[in-house]
Amino acid sequence: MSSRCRLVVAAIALSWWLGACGNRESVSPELAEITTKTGVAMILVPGGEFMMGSDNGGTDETPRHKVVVTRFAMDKFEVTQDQYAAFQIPDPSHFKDPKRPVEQVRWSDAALFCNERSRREGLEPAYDEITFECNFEANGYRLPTEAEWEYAARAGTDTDYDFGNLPGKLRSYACYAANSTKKTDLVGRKRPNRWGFHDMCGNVLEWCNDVYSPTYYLESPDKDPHGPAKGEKRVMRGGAWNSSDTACRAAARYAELPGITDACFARDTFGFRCVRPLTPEELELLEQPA
Amino acid sequence: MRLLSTLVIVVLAATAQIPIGLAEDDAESVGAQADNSELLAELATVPHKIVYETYQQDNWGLFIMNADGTGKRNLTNTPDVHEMFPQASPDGTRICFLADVEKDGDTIRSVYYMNPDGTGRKLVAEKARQPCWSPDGKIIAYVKQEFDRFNIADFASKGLYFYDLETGETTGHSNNNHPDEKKRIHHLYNPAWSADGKWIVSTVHAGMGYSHGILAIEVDGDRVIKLAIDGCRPNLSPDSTKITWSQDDRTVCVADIDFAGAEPTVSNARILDRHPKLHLYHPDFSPDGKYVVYSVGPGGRVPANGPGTHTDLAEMVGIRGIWNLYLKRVDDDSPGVQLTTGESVTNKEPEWLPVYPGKETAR
Repeated sequence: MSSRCRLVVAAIALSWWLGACGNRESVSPELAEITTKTGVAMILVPGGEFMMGSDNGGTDETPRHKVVVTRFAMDKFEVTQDQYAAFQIPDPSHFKDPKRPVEQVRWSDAALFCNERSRREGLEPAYDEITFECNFEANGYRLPTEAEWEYAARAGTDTDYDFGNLPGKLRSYACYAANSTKKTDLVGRKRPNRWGFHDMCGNVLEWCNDVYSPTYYLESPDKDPHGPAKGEKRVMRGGAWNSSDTACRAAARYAELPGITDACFARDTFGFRCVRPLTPEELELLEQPA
Repeated sequence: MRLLSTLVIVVLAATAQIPIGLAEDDAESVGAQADNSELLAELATVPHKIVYETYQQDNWGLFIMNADGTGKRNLTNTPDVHEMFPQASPDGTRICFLADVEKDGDTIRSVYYMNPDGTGRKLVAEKARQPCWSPDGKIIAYVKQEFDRFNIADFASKGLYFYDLETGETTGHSNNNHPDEKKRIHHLYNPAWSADGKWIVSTVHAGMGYSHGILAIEVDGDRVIKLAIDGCRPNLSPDSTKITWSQDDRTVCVADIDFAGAEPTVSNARILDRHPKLHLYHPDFSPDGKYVVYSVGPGGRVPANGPGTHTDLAEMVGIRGIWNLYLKRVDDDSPGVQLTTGESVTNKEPEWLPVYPGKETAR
């Protein structure tokens, strides 16, 4: 295991889950957590298959279909303002606090942040900084595909939320319209999902890499879908501090213009988190029995 | 680039009814019209000059021209240094500006001032940007770069500083470290100093508790007032009775502004010019307040890298693109004129340079 990657295996304690989420249908697997060279907590997500989409939401969430996702590492938290400060990137956020998620982020700026983070860690940047084409073969950071995002949000479940279908518990897991103070919350203040990810519901909408198409699920590939080749908008997922409980469902889809050509285009509900492929050391770690 | 279509100025009610909304087909085009000979003849009698930034032959430089677009010439002529963002002193005897140089792979952006003939360059501050003049021409206000590492973003600044030309000393605004986030100066760009010397009007982006907006900041006090207009890059008429700004990417507006009351107020906002596709930015009032000159160009990212040109949106300082300068009268809806041309040259960030008899100014 790399000396630079501090392993914090068993971040999700079984006893906590049993106590906090007594009505869960199954016990979550323990996923390995690492700290990257730039000090960011990530969770190593094993590959697998899941049912993507929902019959309980918008038409763009249908048809519900089986998708296979390759293993990857994903940020445990939404990208925070202190991460921008650490890279000496001016913070575009409206609601200032080092531990609040960065917001007012254009999709293009999120992609550029991914590249900067890759460079800082000696990884190959994934994005062409003019065309913004994503090189999925690069070992650097990128935005999650829509499938990766939903796979991580569902955390092995097939309900509307990872804790079930009823939104009553959402207050414990999300900063959203019903409980926010009309702004973002510090990341990680709410309970994580069963794979250990915080704020997959609410706080800020999270940019995904995919171009948005409302009919994509009719034609998307079964394995590692990357979204349509062309389109104006990019996918956002997860709901924000001003979202309804419905918009915070794991399958709920939202899309916005990426802001590549507009300096002022952004909302204080737009944030992101990063993913990247696993390193060989992380792969070894992932394959170890828990 | 010559655009033919209808220009409409919409005069709204004499209150600050912003944001201004127009249907796309209400006002379709920019400046240049079929018959602008009358305006060109009028401009030929205007003594004042226009300074602007130009990118050509891999270099940014400051150019100067007459009000009617004739007599263009290079003021700086420095192939190894990139000069941008000219700001003329109110009496026309100095020009402050930004200069970028490359150092160890990073861009060092600094504020300088010089004589209007391009001589006598003096450094004001390194790692600084967005200067503007006090109404008496004795002080240059500017913002400091937020981080040691350069960033092209419009809002990459922290604090507001004042450079005294006589003493060479710099002082910070009393709000620079204010405990109240809404008053602590952060992420300003494009400041403009009011004629009474009491206020600086500036865009704020992701700072001081605002997502984006135009503020009036008291120079010798701690008051910060959010003006009732949306947009960016404000500029005040020399007597500070009018304000012009970009309401959004494609709309330049003019309004009345009153600094005499308890706090600055904006009223009678109207559209000066608008285009459904092109971007309109950097408006600047003429010394007599009759005209506004502004930059027009395509939006979008520019495939280049620093220190001469960086990759980002074309309207920002240091980003090239096919931009040109246009001019319109402020108080009527007569056709405007296009002052520069060039499909491979960038002309933007125009600034009027006052020319008064007896002053040491550009001729």
